[in-house]
Formats: sequence, structure tokens, C-alpha cells
Amino acid sequence: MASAANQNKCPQNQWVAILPAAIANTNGSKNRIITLRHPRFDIGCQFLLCQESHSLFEIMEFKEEPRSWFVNNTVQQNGALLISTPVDPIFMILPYLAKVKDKFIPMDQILMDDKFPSCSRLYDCVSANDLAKVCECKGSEDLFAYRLSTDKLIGWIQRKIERVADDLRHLGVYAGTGSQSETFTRSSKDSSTSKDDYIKYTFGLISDYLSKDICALVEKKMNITSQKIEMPPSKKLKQETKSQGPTDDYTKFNPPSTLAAQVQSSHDDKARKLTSSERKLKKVDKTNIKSISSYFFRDKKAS
Amino acid sequence: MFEARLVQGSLMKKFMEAIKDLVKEANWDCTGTGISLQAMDTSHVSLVSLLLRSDGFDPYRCDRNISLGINMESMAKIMKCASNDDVITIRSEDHPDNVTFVFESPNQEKVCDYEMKLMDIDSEHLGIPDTEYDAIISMPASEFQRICRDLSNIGDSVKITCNKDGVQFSAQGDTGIGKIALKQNAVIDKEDGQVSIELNDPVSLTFALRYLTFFTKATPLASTVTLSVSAKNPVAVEYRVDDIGYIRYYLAPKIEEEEEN
Repeated sequence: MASAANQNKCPQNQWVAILPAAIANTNGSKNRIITLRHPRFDIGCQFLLCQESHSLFEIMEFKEEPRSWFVNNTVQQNGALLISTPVDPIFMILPYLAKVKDKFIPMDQILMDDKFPSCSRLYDCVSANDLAKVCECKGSEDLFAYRLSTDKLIGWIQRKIERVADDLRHLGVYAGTGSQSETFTRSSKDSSTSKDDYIKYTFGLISDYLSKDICALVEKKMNITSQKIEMPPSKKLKQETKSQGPTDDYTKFNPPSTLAAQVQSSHDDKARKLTSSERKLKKVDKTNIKSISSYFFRDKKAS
Repeated sequence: MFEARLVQGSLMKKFMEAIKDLVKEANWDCTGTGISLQAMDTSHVSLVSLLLRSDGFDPYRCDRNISLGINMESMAKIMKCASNDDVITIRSEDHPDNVTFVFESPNQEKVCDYEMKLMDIDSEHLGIPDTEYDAIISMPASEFQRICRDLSNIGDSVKITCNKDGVQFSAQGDTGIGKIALKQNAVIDKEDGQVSIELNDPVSLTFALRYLTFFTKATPLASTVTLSVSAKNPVAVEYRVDDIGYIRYYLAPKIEEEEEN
């Protein structure tokens, strides 16, 4: 990727953006900014479409006041920084496919949206091969009809999650719970974040591009328990899940067995409201003993 | 206003120890004549009845009858804070939410004041008829404690057989059979260490040993224990405490198979 200023002559229509080199170097007219329906939030979002390479880029705007850019010898008042990241166009197509779930329909008819007419351009970005990863296809070369296949879709998402999770792990992105400084160096070599943590983290990333229904399906299939990170977990929970323990290894001072025993005993306390003597009496075989009250007469107001 | 001052505070501690394991919560009924308590254990197999007469306290004041619903475990914990030679005072208002325990050291140098929250306990009083018992056995309390302890090593239940020869406690278990027979002592002048049997009818009954063992927690309170048994009726185990009252336990017998048939 290269940093480049999208220099149009008109100062009002000028932004500073980080773009992939391929796009920055091509003729500006080949690239378009189009508005598409966001698959997760169902609102219009702007995407950068590269017509030459048929690739789609999500545009993120980072804006902080007060800020401006110097562009050559002029000052650009708008200090926003646009960051473009490639995005799989299939994600954008999914809501449309989901809408016409049960019918085989040609793609150009699926991609119709009164609100966001540019969505038909997505058709150029995907090949029949790509579509086959999430759809069942019918028809011949000149006319393909597609229908969303839930099984294929989930498999596709699953593969995606696994690949991204692997990449994140190789990149050393911290995916455990809580947060950690990028420059933080862990004292113990082995990372405490498990593969599960990466899968969960990745699922969180990818679910930003999936509708809630699909998310639920994937969650169920991959057995991902969504964590409510906003809620501060109670202290007890902290002890229970290992991943929430300290990342540093203090086990030689406090062996896990004793820790577990402590947790266990605190649980026992809750379950055990009975005193030891009460438990002893509970154990007595009372099968042949009648209740004591059956021997005495009841009177409510005695002495 | 209710106030009862017990000079021999250790008695209160011992009473607490004697009932706290059996009864979880109970009403202490305070009247002009004294303090009484009646409660069943959680499985309703046994009954504890306790009486502390007003003349055992110095002074005793009870303006109107009140019922103090007390969690035994909590009270036992507070009673543990009292030293053995402390003077214990129990105090509460006429419509109490709290009860106050005051522990004074004998030389008045230290006064502990514990206030405990009361509970609303729904309890029903059982009327205990004055029955003629088939046999009334008196024996040293420590002897009875020993018998219960020894036999609980053998089995879960004890069979108490009383006839003109004496009284026999027997237990049967996987390991075998244990029998302890006591004969009536001939020595008349030594009252305390004596086994005496008042027999009207020979009788044989079986009881859960574990409960009897719990009853023997009252052993420090009295030197003598009295077992009153009647066929097909609960046994009454009584510890008389000099000058103040008694603690009585009742335990329902085990109904034997042959009797049912």
C-alpha cells in the first residue's frame, strides 16, 4: 500500500487517503466511490470500487478536530484521513441473496436496490466461482441463476474465520480478553491466548459484515459463545475462566491446583448451607421412624 | 421489657451447645415463670424441650410474654464469645426486633454487648401428654454418653431392652453385634453414680443412635440422665439442671418390621 493524496484540482472535492498502490497509480476516473447497503447495519456506506481490478474497498474516515492537511503549497481545511481496506464483495451481496432465499434468480436481478442503485456494480466484482462458494448455481455459461445455500455459506465463513485467525496469530495481534499495549512485551514466552480466543476475536471482526441471523447461525455452528465485553465480568467469573487470569505466569508461587481448590471451596460454601452436624443427621435412615409430632397432640397456644 | 441475668453464664453456653446442632431456629418463649423453648429437628423425628425457670435467674423480669425467634447457629456463635465465668444477661424490649446479650466478667472489668437480630419463626407447639412410662431409667450422664458413643461404632440404631434384670443397649451392624447391659446399683447412698430402673412393664424399642448421640451433647449440664421409655412411644431423655430447669429430648422409635406385619 502507498500513501497518496487524491489530488483533484477542485479543493472542495479533495481528500487525503491511504490507498493501495494499484489504485493510487491508476487513472482516477477508473475508481469510483459508490454507496452500498451495509450488510450488518442496513444503512448506506461508501465504498471505493476499482473498475480496473474489480475490487472493492471499504473506506474508513478518521476525523479529529482541529486538524488540517498541507497539500503541496495549500492548506486543506478538511483534516480527515480516509483509509481504504479491501473487502470481499460477497459480504455485500449476502443481504440480497438472503432476501430471495428460496428461489434461483440470476445475479443481475438479485442485485437490485431502489435505495442503493450502485449495488448492481457488485456483479462485476464477483466471479461465478466466488458465488459458487456460498450459492447453489443453476444454468449455463450465458445465464447463471443463484440461490443462497446456508451450509455453503457457513462453511465459507468458517474457513474465512480460521484463516484470519491464523493470520492474526502469525502477526502477533493480541486477541485475548482485555486490552494490551501493542508494544507490550510479555515476560513469559508462550502466549496465554488460545486458538479459541483468536477464533472469537476473528468472529467479532467478521461479524461486522454479517447480518444478525447469519451471525447466530455461525455462532451455533462454531460453538462460539459471544462475550459481552462491555459488561465488566464479576470477580467470581474471573477466577473461573482461565483466560481471564493474569497473563504472567505466577504458578510457581500459587500452583493451579491450590487455586482451583480455593475456587472449589468457595463454591462448596455456597452449596453447603448445612452444618456438619446437620449433614450427619440427614444421613440417618429414617424410613421406619414416624414424625415426632404424630405422637404428641398439637396445640397452637400451649404455655 | 424483658431481662434475665444468669450468674452462672456457662450454663447458657452449655444449653446452646446442647441444642444448636439439632435445632436450626426456634422461638424462645419468655413468660413470667421463665424461658422455655420447644423445637423439632429439621427432619421432625426428634423434639427438644427446654425450660429455664425464672428463679434460676437473678434478677428476672418479664413485663409481658414475648417470643424471641432466634437462629441457633448465630446465637451459638455469640455465646461462644462469652467466657465460662461471665455473667450473662439476656435483654429485649416488649416488641423486639433485636435481642441483646451482655457478658460481664466477674470482676466487672469487661463488658461485652452483643445485639442480635430476631426472626419471625412460625412454629407450632406440641402438647406432650404426661404418660405413664413403662420404664424409667436413671444413669450417670457420662455413662449414657459412653454407651451411645461405643455402640455407634457398631451400628446405626440401638435397641433398648428393659426388664427386671436391668437394661440392655444393643446395636447390630456389618461388623457384628454389641451389647451393653446395666444392672441396678445396690448402693443407695451414692446417688449420682447410680443406675436405677423404675419398671412397670418390660419394654424393648429401637432408636436411631445418631440422634441419641446428639442428645448426649447435654451431658455437661447434668450428672444424671433419665430415659423414659414406653412401648411404641417416643423416648424421653431428660437432663435436669440443678436450680434452673431441664432439657428434654424426645425421639420417635423405629417401627420394627415384625410389628408392622
